[in-house]
Amino acid sequence: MAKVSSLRSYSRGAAALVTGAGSGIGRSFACELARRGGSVICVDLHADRAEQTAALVDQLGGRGIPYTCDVGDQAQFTQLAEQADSLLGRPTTLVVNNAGVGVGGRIGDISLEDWHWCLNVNLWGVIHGCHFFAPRFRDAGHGAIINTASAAGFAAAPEMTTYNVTKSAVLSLSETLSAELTGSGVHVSVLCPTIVPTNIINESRFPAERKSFAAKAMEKWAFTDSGEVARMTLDACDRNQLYVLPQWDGKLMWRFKRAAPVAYARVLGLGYRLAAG
Amino acid sequence: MASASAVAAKATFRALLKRDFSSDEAAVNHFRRILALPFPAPVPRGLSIEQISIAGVPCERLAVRRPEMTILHLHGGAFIGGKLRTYRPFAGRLAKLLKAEVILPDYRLAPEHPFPAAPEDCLAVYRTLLECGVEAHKLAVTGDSAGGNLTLVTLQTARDQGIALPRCAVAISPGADISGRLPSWRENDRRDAMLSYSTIQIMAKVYLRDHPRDDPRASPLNGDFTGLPPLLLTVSDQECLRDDAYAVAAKARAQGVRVEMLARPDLPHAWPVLNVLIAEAREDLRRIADFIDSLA
Repeated sequence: MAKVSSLRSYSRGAAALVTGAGSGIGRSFACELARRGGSVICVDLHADRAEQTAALVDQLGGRGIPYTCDVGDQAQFTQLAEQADSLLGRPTTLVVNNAGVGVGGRIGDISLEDWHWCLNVNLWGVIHGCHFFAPRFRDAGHGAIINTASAAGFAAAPEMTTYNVTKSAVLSLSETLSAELTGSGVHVSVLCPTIVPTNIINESRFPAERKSFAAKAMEKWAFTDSGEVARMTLDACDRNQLYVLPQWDGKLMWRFKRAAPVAYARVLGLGYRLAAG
Repeated sequence: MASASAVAAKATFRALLKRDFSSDEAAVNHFRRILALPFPAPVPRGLSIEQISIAGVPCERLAVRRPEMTILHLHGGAFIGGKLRTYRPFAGRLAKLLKAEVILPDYRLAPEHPFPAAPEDCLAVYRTLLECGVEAHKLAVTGDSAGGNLTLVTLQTARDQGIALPRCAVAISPGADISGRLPSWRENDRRDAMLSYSTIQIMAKVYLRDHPRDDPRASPLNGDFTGLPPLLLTVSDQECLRDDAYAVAAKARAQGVRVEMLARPDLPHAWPVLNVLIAEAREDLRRIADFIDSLA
């Protein structure tokens, strides 16, 4: 259950930085912050997408600043962190570490190159965001960090190894950070969605036959939209919630795994064997 | 949390209205059939209902005995449907709350009469009301959904043509940018209980045919808001047309218009006109009346 909402809102009139803002949940985060009257640095690897999102932010009543950068690259993120406050015209108050890519396949089949690529974006991108902004927020005594993990971070679905590993690490990072920042006035939320219709599949490295399966799953089994996920997450952050599970299927898996982890692993393995034949 | 009545209404709309359509024709027929279903339409006591014709456009007029003001309400229905009879509870309640007469024009609909038939009819009715002696400061223009679009277009066109502007305007879940560039069309595709991305695209095509979607008379968001009277926008966070309202609010404010926004997290599209079905609608209808009244 939600705690009594705090008087302080992190999402209204925020000076925010959103990574992976060029599409999907990141774009929805940027637009939602705009509707709440905030300024948003829209960070994306693709300049054109960052600019599109920034234009939408402007149109929806916020101020959008496009920024092109690879969040996994230390030098590039260092520069972004140095420039953020001056780009926004005031100290940053909210960081959404959202950029992510997918890699699928069985352990051993995934190339080490793909491992590095995925870890770089999904994990190092989030580490960079936390590394640079958590100390600033702590010193200021105000701010919020939202990390986009995934239900994959605890669900351990087979053949999604790399993705699962990175998201599990983001979950752990967020939990640790939340503990460290208790009482500092800085809030941490971690978002664990299941399937949300975005273009992550197109941007991912899957074996070809898995790609079409994943695309179909996204079309058939998504019961929500990225806009709703962003809205619920920002609301949850304002209510000081750490774990944000916006969908019922995610909540179900979360409960099951927490209550009976061994049984969960067995059921998962059996299901996989049946499905894989 | 939405009231039980709102949850039930949303589930009903989802079951009845929301579809993936195979063709444009199928979409139009389906919408018209659903919007024409026998809908409980009780009218508050003490109101007169008459069928009149203004500037050649058939209209329904609901009025209290001695109306002190006039409301021109442009109905919704995606430019292809909408029955005036179903608006009686809404219009009647508004008339009662404001001691007003409410005029509901039955403007021409697509696909038989595509753009610009609808905005032309609405402007003609608006102009004729003023010519017939309705004072501008005692007139408010309201509209829901497609009617919200027509409300904004009517104001902008009236301003451009030097016609007096009303006291205020209310746009209930307006469709303001038909180009489909705003994110909520896709973002709320599944959560919206009535409309979906594909449905709105079909309706836009049926309404505009080959006409450019950027035309401000079709997408008033692209028009100029300078000098318009105070504007109240209502919108639900769950609907596809969410950003149309937010973008109108941002642009109109930037151009010096007084804008009030009534945003609700979890109600269906254009809920204030569904005061028979939804508890929140009755509450928000009162707020709409208060807004119009406060500017007297």
